Amino acid sequence: MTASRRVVVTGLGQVSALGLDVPAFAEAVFAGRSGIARLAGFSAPGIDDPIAAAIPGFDPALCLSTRALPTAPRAAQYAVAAAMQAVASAGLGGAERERGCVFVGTGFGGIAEIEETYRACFAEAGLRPRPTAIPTAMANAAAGLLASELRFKGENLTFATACSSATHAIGHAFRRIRAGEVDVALAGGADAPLTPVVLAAWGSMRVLAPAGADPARACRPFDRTRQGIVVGEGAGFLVLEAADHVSARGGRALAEVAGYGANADAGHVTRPDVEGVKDCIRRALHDAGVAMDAVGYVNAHGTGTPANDATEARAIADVFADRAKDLPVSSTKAVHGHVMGAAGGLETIATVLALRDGRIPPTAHLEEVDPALPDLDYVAGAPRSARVECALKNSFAFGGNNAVLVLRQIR
Amino acid sequence: MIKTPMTPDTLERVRRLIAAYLKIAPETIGEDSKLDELGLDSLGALELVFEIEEEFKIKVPDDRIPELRTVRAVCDGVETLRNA
Repeated sequence: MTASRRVVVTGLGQVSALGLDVPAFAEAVFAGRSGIARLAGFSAPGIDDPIAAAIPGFDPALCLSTRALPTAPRAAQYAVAAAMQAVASAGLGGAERERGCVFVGTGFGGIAEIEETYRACFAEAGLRPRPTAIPTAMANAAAGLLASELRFKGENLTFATACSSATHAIGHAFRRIRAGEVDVALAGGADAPLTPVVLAAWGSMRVLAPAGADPARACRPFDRTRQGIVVGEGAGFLVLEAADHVSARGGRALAEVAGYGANADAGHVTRPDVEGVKDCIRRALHDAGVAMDAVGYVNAHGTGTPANDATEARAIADVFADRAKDLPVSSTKAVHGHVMGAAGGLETIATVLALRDGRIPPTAHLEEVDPALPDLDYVAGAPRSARVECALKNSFAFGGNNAVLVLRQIR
Repeated sequence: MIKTPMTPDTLERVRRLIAAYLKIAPETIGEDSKLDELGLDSLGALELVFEIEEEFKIKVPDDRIPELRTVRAVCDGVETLRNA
């Protein structure tokens, strides 16, 4: 193996509120069609009218082996469904998978299963934890299941950095491959945080967008009337490979991963920090060796909270200075919700599609850019045709945790 | 071990528990079915023991678990423990 290899994306897979495969995701993301809706029959303490970006019609029996089906926790089921698509679209054979590594981001791990165990033990007299309580609750359940279901026998790691988890997982896969240590990796994220307690807890933080007259339009990043996040569930995975490895096996690259930046605000646990975000974007650009002029699109973290969007827009404006007002920026969370530890997986897929297809997804439901935000080229309404050489994928998380990827078009 | 006759009720309830866990039809589970061949691995067997304890209000001692290799063995074990 040679050092400092080019790293490319060769496979994509996802399940989310936008559907159960990448074509459904792409159609909705570029059309700005929202997957956010009321949660029927769902009760969360303190939430009057719960809404979410929930996956419609997911059947784990369609993707899991009979051995795994009875015990696989929900987030891990989503991970397998998404990763199977990614591996199939990359055309990876058995030998390549056996050498492959797995890097999974998850914010909440087995929270649904933990919640169910606690409910059984503390709310119902005499019940005890099931034998599967521990293996379904552990944060690396998805990574382990990906290995066993898809026969990936390489390094198997889980990144738990809240809302930037998947982006770090992809970034680490990129670093390992670039360094010549790994040829193939499955990287992305999975989360299943639509539980009564998790939703209620987000409500207590007062960051949830209310249902309003039309729940589908509840999440409005960068809009003057934005009111917060909508929690989503799902998984997004990519196959990353060394470019020489792809050529040798006759595979096809969709985009290049060119750089990765990671840092910490070292400040407040929940309040985002302009200086930390700026530093992270600069680290990623420096890592990629990419000039700012080459960046033609930013897929924003863009949660739709007043604080995130203002901080992120200010950071982008400061870093790109004179170019900022002409730099296209959008957030796809308006349609797939905030999928927490999986967000960076889904959004990196959207960014890869933008580079491959030469069109930028809009921020759905963005009707009037908040006049308090700095002047950027906020893409709204319809997808925009544009040959983008390089794009940024931003992810920021509680704990003051930041991750930025630089992706490049295949020439 | 003194064998007690297996009641149809016990067999039916055990089959239902196994079927629910494995997400398969109870009709596919016979008296002589081996648990591992049905798809119950070691963790799955512990889940079955858990369900049996809840269902029949019994306590299965750790040293009895390795004996539970077939549906019939599970039913026999349940009957023995219920009559103990």
